[in-house]
Amino acid sequence: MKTVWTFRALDTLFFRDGTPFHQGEGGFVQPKGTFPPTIMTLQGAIRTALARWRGWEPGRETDWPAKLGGPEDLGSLQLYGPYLQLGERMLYHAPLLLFGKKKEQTWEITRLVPGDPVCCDLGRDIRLPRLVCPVEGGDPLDAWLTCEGLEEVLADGKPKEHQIYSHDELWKEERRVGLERERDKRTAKDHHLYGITMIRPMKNVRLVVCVDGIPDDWKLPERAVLSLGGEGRAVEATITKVQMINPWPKRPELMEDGDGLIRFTVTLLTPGWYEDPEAVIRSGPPEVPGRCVSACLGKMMQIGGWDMRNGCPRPLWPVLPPGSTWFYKAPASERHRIEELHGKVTGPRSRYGMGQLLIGTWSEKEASEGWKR
Amino acid sequence: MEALIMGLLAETSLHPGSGQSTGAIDLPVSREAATGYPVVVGSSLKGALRDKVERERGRQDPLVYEAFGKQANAGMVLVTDARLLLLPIRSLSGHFRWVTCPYILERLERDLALIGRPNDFGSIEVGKGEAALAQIDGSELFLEEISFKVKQIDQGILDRIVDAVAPLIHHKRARRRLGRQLVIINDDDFSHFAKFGLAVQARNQLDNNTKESQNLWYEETLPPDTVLYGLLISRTNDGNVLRALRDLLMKQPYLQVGGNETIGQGWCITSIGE
Repeated sequence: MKTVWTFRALDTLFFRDGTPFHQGEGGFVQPKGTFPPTIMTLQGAIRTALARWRGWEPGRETDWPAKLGGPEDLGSLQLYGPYLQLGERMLYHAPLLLFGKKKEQTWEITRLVPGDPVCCDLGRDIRLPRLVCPVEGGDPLDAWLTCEGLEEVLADGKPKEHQIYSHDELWKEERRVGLERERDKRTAKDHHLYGITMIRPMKNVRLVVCVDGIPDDWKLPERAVLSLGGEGRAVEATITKVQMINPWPKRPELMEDGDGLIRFTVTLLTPGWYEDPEAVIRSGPPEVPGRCVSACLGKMMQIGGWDMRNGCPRPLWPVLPPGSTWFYKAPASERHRIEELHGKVTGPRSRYGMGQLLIGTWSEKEASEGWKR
Repeated sequence: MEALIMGLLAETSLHPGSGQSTGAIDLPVSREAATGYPVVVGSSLKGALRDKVERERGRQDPLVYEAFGKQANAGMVLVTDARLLLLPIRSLSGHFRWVTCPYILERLERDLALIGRPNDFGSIEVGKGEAALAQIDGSELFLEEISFKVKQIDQGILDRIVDAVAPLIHHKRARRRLGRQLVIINDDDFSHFAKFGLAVQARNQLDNNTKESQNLWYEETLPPDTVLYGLLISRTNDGNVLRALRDLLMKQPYLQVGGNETIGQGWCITSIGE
């Protein structure tokens, strides 16, 4: 059965980053909330809900449905996401080949393209990304795009104003201070004050996860309240059966250049979990044919999560952030292989929906013309 | 899914604090980041409920751990934030008013639908500077020092709102005056009162011997008669724990939430919306 799960926060959510809490120590570094959460958090909530609807309760491990796998596998499930949804519009993290800033409600954006070969710490003849046009005070775009906006970017263009959403338009951070009660004295317990940053999604912002592989004979409610993330915060989950799962943008037409090569980009739609992250940073995901020319990558994220079965945190693992983009050249004979990569999930955690790739295009002409420092 | 809605009527001022701030108010109340509305955060409400059960039933009572969990596992009851529903605002035109806005009522609709009690209040249109109420006396209503142009609220809409909100208020007398005192203002106008309309008290610590001021600070509180509500949701298929908690709250409805307990703040009376 193919289903789409949308999650609406009832109030705030807390998905802790890798920063540890420290008890009884000083220091101002406090755990922050991240948003959207990783699929590791969401898969736990989804599988727990599915198991409960099959009659399982915590502590009754023999009742756990085998089809839902275990701590290290998903059984028969295949997940895709998480994506964001604002009202009826799906939103995706902007590819990191976009660079710019928002100035008084107006976005000033340019693209990054492979620059001239240089000798640097990565080796000889390395083509570092460079800007097509200068944007004073800009940064790699940390924003969200609508489906149409992302299709523009994949087709070697730029998104329009109304297709870009900054974090502030989608969620707010809410700092909270908590304490432990001294139960006998009914006062705040010394050295047990803590601060966390929670996330309050704006109205009509939802998380979306697509779940494939749920047995057809399982009965699912249309709506349910689940707890998600830290502090057992509540979300309303809406579960819809669908015919097809493809909530990602369309692939642009791949054109063969005069030299018989196809120039294409590979962008991560979801975080990329790979066995050898260093190799992937240098030459892209292992499944991609052709030669990696350049890349625009974000800072590695750390993904952990909570192992409910064993009651302990999962070890942190470095993953590439969504939006990371590699520029490739490949012979035209590889066209079919390249096209098949669009929407494909890659890496050892592909069943979790991690490492989902989108194919776009880039042009050598744009790379060789335009603004140079 | 078993769930219930719990109303909280403030009997005394509430100080659900958010720690210190560097602004004009040293100890503000906690607020929702997106709306700026005062809120009793879920962890605070859950702690207060846990404390309540421990005091009524004893610390070792199974209900404490089953409902609220322990170090090794989470409890079976999910507690949301207590959201603002009605804010008492002083009126120069007469007695205070219970003020709310279309967005808050929309949230209530959504939350009621979530727990399986769908309500449709209908279309509530209130322009900026307008106040919709049941009984019009004159053409203007003053809330604090701001003048609002009054308009008659549709009786059908008012009845539906009162039917949904009244069960969240414990006292029958207070329920009876709900329709009379309810005022719905525009979302933007309500934002102003939610941000700037709360009571701010100056507090002072005196030196025992010289009676000189040692520490002066300002703190913000939600006024008595504020109405908030939260959802209590069973995390398992078995709703027995939630029902036991409901029964306890129906017998012993008073709950202390937030800070300053020793100066009489934080007392609410709960009401389970059946």
